[in-house]
Formats: sequence, structure tokens, C-alpha cells
Amino acid sequence: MTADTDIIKIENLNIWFQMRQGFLKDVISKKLRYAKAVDGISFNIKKGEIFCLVGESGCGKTTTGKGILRLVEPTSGSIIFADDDSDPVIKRLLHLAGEKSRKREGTAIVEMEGRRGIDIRKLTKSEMIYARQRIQMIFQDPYESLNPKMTIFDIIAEPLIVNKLSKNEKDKEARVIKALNDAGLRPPEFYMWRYPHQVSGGQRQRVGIAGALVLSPSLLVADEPISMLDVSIRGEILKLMLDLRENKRLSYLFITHDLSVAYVFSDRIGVMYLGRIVEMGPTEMVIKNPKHPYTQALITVVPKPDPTAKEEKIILKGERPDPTNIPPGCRFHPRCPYILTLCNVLQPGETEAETGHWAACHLLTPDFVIKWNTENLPKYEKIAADVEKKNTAEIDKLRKELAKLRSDLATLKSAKVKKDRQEAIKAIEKNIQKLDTEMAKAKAHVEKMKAEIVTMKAKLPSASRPLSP
Amino acid sequence: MAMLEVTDLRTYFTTMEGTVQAVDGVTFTVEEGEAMGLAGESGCGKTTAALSIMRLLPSNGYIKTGKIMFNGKNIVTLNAPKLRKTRWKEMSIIFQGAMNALNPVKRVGDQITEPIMLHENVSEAAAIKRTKELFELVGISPDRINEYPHEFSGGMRQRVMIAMALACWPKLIIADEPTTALDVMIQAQILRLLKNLQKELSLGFIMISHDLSVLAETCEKLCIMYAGKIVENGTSIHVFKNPRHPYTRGLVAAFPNIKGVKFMPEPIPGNPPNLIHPPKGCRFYERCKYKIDSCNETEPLLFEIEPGHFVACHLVQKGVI
Repeated sequence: MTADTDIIKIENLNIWFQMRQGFLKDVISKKLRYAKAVDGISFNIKKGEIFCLVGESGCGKTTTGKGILRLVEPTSGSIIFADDDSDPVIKRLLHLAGEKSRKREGTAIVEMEGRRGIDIRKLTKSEMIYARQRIQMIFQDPYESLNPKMTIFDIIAEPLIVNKLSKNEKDKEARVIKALNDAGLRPPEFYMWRYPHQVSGGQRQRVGIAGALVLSPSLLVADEPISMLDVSIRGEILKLMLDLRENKRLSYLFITHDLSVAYVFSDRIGVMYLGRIVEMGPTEMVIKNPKHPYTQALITVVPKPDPTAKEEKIILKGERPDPTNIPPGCRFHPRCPYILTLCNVLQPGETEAETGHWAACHLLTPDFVIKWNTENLPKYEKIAADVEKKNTAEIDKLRKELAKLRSDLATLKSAKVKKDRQEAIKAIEKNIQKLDTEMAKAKAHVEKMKAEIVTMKAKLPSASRPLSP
Repeated sequence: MAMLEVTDLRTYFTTMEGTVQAVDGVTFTVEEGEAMGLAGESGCGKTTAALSIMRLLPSNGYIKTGKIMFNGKNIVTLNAPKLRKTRWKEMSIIFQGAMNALNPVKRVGDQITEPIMLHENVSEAAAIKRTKELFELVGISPDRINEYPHEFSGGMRQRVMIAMALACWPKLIIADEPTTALDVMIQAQILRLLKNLQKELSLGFIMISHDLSVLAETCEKLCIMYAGKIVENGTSIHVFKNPRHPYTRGLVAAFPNIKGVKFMPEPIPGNPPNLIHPPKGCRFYERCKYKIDSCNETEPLLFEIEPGHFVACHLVQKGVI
């Protein structure tokens, strides 16, 4: 295997959760509601690479990580794992995956860049055991992910027992000691027989890492491995993970909400928003030259350890969006400061801004925006004209009514009837106002589209090249 | 005179294993309209210091010695009725987990009107009116006062907590990790709100956080705590641009700066000392990379290294580092 080969390739992965809407509704209604936690994401991780998924909580980054290990079952898409096929576990897995099984259609082998890859989604439960020996996970909270009633030895030895990997007690112990050593818990004998509560937070996280290392994986999914740790020991864990990459050629899927950690630790970043990757590229490029408005905002709000830094923060309004109700068009448009008309309607494609760095935003394809706006302008103009025609007619009618009511008012004597009339007048006035604003809105829409064409034209001679508008 | 003057505060906890010296000789001042940050690792005593100022310590904790002078009153010796009048009316606290700090079975509006009515002897209608104003101030629609905490999102709940802390227009607000559980975007919203309120109302403000970069953006003054003691104290520019104590240096280096060059955060090896039997000399001795033998013998005291910048380190005092 050379340095540039992919160890895992995820294509168009969807993980949807069905929403309960109450028993009867579930039975009767034909339309099921889904929470689309992960909604069509694709990425690849190269051998020995650290790929980082960042985003707010609820954007689907953890679900993606779990989906790769099939700890949650993906709805559709493919996860192709292609490790070194001289490895006996992979050999065995390739052999099993190539065979027919009642539980799947065809084989689980996929050709990838001339190598044989395994589609994780097509593996049966018993085959997954082999795959999980090579893909392991490190969990976020070292205070909750370790069983308090087991010694550290038992915790780390458990994967060996589950996978029936240790030949005898001596072999098991040797493997545990090696894993502890690799995770930097030295001397291993000192830690082995302790319970999790007897060691500190940083050491607990090392235990979690040792538990993953004992099966000698080639890909580690690290879900916020340092967010629960004290600042002074975060660096230690990151260093350990870097060392492991050097010594064991591990690849990482690193999941974090902290952009500054992603910046110093990863090779490539994917920024997730509401189940989709909106920007992806080499870390340096994404952080120093962000293209998507969401990434730009996210970078400005990261607290900086510098009291003299005076930078305008782009604080997005609103709370985190709801994956059960994904907005049409660009899913970021309700919070976007630069929203264009077509953002409401059309989902943006991925546009490459620099080599290997793309973002999904209409602003990057001014030529396409101009084209779309020019094409759709007549449609919106017609809508505006229709609204104007209809509303003017209505307003005329209402005005007549109003005049009649007003003239009535002068002749009436009874206080109660007078009051009724006054209220009716108020209601009609309100109605007229509503129709007026409706008309103004439709007109403003057209004006905005025209203005957009002008501003986009100014941007036109840009180097950006639309990949898939 | 400063609004809050904490002098040689020692707060201890009685536990099964012995007395934990959680806060051990802490001295600082907060002026009116000043924002001070209290930073340190978990277990360094920063929350205990805040709870001591509010006299809200758990039942096994007690203030051993020290003075907390607040607006001319010594909080430590105040009796219960007087304390009740000071709390919330003159100083209030924003707790860390807004999820747990609000009563889940009471409407949020009622939870805010209650202290207003208790402290200020106003009618319910007036209290509700003020609650609505407070909601507007912290950026929540006043129509939501009749909702329950579970109907609010995390950021909105934190706003409710801030409204509650402001209920009786106190002069001092303590915020204990107000944004730790929140997303970066919501964190930025809340921090901006706090900063604006603090400026507008010219509040004394103590912000407690383990995240130095959050404090860098909100506070003018910083105290760095380590194992129950303040090790460095100065303006945030002093602390960030010219950190002197080895612990502060380590802490500042541990924060990656997204705007700076890419470097791996430098860890500080080791763990904080056991506070039941704290070391005799410098408490950072075990983890210090510059240590010399004499550091372990006498306790370093804070001394002024430049105007307004205090450090507690033997080696800095001797000019070695």
C-alpha cells in the first residue's frame, strides 16, 4: 500500500431515524417522518491521515462516526474499507465478504482504485466482528465509557475475549501490556490491576485508547476524545494520537466541535452543517481561507487566547437547526448573512475553490447565479405582476367599502353600532396594509434578483469553476 | 474602595479522608464595573471561591479564615437574614448547568418574579412587568414567560438564568462557567450578551472558566488559580502577553490559536496535588519544569513584578526565569 491510497471511502451516506408520531399516526399515516441526522455525505480518509469532522452539536458528526462502525445502521450509501490485504484479518474478511450469503445480495467486495475494498454496509453480523478489529472507536467521556467494576486489565482484555483472539492467559496479558505501553500508561503493571476511579481523567482516556489499540486497528474513530479533559492534559492525548499515527500508521476520523483543536491536529477538515458537509479541504486552506459563510462565521466565533485581538465576530442568529425539518434549497439559508434568491430554492453543488478545497455555496459560482437569476426573473416578474393586479383590485374594493362605512358612521346615532363600524373600519385598514406589503414584497423580490445579478457580475472574473451546479 | 475585597480566604471541606483545603489563602478585589476572570483546572478551587462569596457552600464546607468585604459588609460574619437581603439583591450568581439550575416544574416567569417579590416588596403585576423587561433585555420574547424550562433550548435557558441573575439589579454578578455546555455559536451569543450587559449596567463581574480564551475575550483582569491558591494575577494583557508563573505559561501555551500559526498545544505533565495533604512549599513543584530544591521548602507569596501584575513564584522573584 502506498501513502496515497484511501483506507476508507464513504459515498452518499444517509442515516435517517424514523420519528415516532404516536401509535395511531404511525399506523395510519403513509408519510413517515425522519430525522435526517446524516443526509448524503461523502468523504475519504487516506492511509495515515487525520480527517476531522467539525460542526455544532446535532449536525450529525457523531452519527457519521457511529455509522461507519455500524453502531447505528446507515439508511443508504456505501462505506468502503480497503486495508492492506496482506493482513490476515483483512484476508479472512475479504474471503468471507466474497462469498455469497443469504443475508445479502451478491458480494460485499467493491473494486476501488484497483484494490479490493469491502463494503461495510453489506457485511453480515459475524463478518462485522472482523471489520471491527480494524476499525475501532475512542469515546468522548472517559468517566462514563469505562466500566467502574472492572479492572483496567479486564477492560482492555475484553475485546480479546470477545474476538477469541488470545491463545492463553499469558498471551492475553502480553497483549494487554503492549496496548498499555502503546497508550503511554507506563509501567503497565502499575496500572493494570487498578480500577478506573483510581486513575486521573487523562489516564482514563489513555485506557480508552489502549482498549482500542489492543486489537491493532488501522482506523480509529475518535469522537471528541479530549473535550472532557482538562486543558493541561489535552496536549498529551493529542501527542499520543500523533505518535500512534507515526509508529503504527493509524488513520483517524477525528470528530470535534472545537475548530481550534481541528486546526492544530488534523490534515484535512470537513465542516458539517445539518447532516451535510458544506466545506472540505486541507486544514490550512479551510481555516485560513474559508469559503462557506458558515465556516467563516464559525471561525470568527472561536474564542482566541489573545486579549488584544479585535476582530468582528459574525454571530449567526438562531439556535441549532432541526434535522426533522430541513429547510428547502441550501440548508444554511435561514441563518446565512448573504442569502440570495436561489438559495431558497436550489441546493448548491460542490464548487472547488482551490485544489482539494471545495465548498457548497452558490456565492462561489457567480456565473451560475447570474444565469439562474436571468432565467427565473420573468417568472418572478410575472408573480409580482399577478400579485399587483390581484391586490390592486382587492384594495379598490376594500376602499369603496371603507368609504361607505365612513359615510354611514356620520349618520349613525347608536353608540354600540358606531363602535362596531369603527372596528370593521380598522379591520379593513389592516387588510389593505397587508395587501400592500404583499405587493411590495413581490416587487422587492424582483428588485433583489436584479441587484444580485449586478453584484455577481462584479465578482465574475473569478477563478472558481463549478463542478456540479 | 473596591466593591468586593476578598482577603486571605480559606475555605475547607470536611470529608471522610480528612480536611480538603480547597481554597487556601486567596486575595483579590473587584471594582465596580470591572470584569474579572478566575481561571484554572478543574478542582483548583475556583467554584469554591465563588460559592464562598455567595455563602452557598455545601454543608461540609466552611470558611476557615478570611474576610470578604462587599460594599462595606463582611459577608463571612453576616447573619442569615442579612445575608438573605444581600444575596440576589446586591450580588447574584449564574450557575453552570442551566439545565439543572432551573426548576423543571415551575414556569420560568414565576421563577424570576419570586425573588423580585421577596426582595423588593412589589406587587405581582409589577414583578411580572419587570420579568418581561428582563426577558427583552436578554433577548427572549416576553411572551415566553409562561413556558416551562424544557420548552427552551440550552442557549435560551442560559439567557433565562442571566435574566434571573439580573432580577433585582445587583451590583455584582458571578458567572460560573456560563457557556461551558454550549455550542460555539451559542457561546458567542451569550458572551456578547454578558459583556454588553456588564458594560451597560456597569456591573462588577466575576467570570469563572477553565477556558482561558473565553476569559481573554471578556475580562480585563485575570486571576490564575492552582490547587487552591492564586499563582498569578494581573490584567489579561499581562497574563497573556507576559505570563511569568510556569503554570500560567503552560496554560497559555496549551491553548491553540486559530488565528495564529499551527502548533501542537504543549501539555503540562502530571496532576494537581492532593489538597488533603498539600505540599509544604510551592504547590506546582511536582509539575514545574524549572523547579529547584528550595521551591519545595517555603511557600511562594504573591509579589508585584510590574505595576498591577502579581506572581507567586520563587524563581521569578529571584529573577531566574
